[in-house]
Amino acid sequence: MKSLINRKLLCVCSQGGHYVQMTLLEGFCNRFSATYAVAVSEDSCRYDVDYVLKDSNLRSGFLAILFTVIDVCKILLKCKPDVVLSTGALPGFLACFFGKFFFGAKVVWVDSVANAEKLSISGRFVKYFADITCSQWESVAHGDERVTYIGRLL
Amino acid sequence: MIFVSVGTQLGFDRLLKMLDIVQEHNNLKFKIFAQIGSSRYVPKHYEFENSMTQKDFNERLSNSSVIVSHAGMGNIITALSYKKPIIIIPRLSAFGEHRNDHQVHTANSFAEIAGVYVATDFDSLNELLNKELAAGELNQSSEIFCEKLLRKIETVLNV
Repeated sequence: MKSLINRKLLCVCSQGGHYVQMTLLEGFCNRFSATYAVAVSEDSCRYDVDYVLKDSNLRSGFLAILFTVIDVCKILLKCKPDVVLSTGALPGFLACFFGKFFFGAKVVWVDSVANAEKLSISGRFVKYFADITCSQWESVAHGDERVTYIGRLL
Repeated sequence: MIFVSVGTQLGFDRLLKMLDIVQEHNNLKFKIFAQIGSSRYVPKHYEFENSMTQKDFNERLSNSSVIVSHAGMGNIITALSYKKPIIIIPRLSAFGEHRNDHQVHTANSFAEIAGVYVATDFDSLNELLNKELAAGELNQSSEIFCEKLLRKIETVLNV
C-alpha cells in the first residue's frame, strides 16, 4: 500500500450523480495522491475541488466539446497523472482518452449505477482501452470480458 | 417540509405543475421548498429557488422530512446518505425532459431499494405525499467496492 500514495490519481467527472458517486469512491482515492476535477455547466452550484472545467456532451456541439478537450488537456499537463479515474460522463471519458494515449496513464472507469441496462455511451468506448472498467450491475458486465462487476457503490 | 430538487442541468415543468396541483388538492397543507433549475414554470403555491450552493442545498435537505426529485442518481444517493425518504419522478424524453429515458431505468432499478419511492403521475405522487414514508440509508457497499478496486489497480500498477 505504501507505494500507492506516491502515485498521482486524477479524478474527473461531471456534476450531479457522477460527482456524488466519485465521493463514494473516497476510500479508493484517499490511498493515492489525488486531484479532483469536476465538469460543470455555467449556472450550477460550486464545488470544492482542485479544478473546475467546462461540461459538454455529444449534443453540445463541436465547439463546446473542444473547450472541454482544452480544459482536460490543461489539467492533464499540470497533474501528469499515473492513473485517471472517472465515473462519467463525456469530460471524464476525454480525460481517460487523452490521459491514456498522450500521458500513458492507467485508466479506471466506474460506470454510473444509473446505467442498469447497458453501459453508458462513454463506457462503451472506454472499455476498449481502459485498464479497469466496472459496471455496477452484474447483468451488464456479464458476458463482456472487458467489463468487471465488483459490486455497487450503494 | 418537503424539499424538491430537479437537478441543475434541465428544467422539469411537469413535476413543478404536479406539485401545485397536489397543493390545490390538499388545500395547501404541505410546506414545500423547491430547487427548480432551469424550469420555465413558476410555482404558485410554494417557495422556490433556481439554483443553490451545495451548502444551502444540503442544509435544506437535512431539515426536510421528504425529498421529491427527478430520478437523478445524485439526489438519490444524497437522500440515502442523509437518511431521508425520497420520491423520484423519472424524466421522460417524450416530454422533452431529457435526452433519453434512462431515468425510467434508474427508477425501475431503485424502486426496490428501501427509502426510495417512485411516482409517475399526480395520483401516485399525491398518495405518497399523504403517507408516512420510511427512510433508507447508505450501506457499507462503497467501502467494499473501494477495497476490491484497490486490489485491481495494485495488480495493474504492479505494486
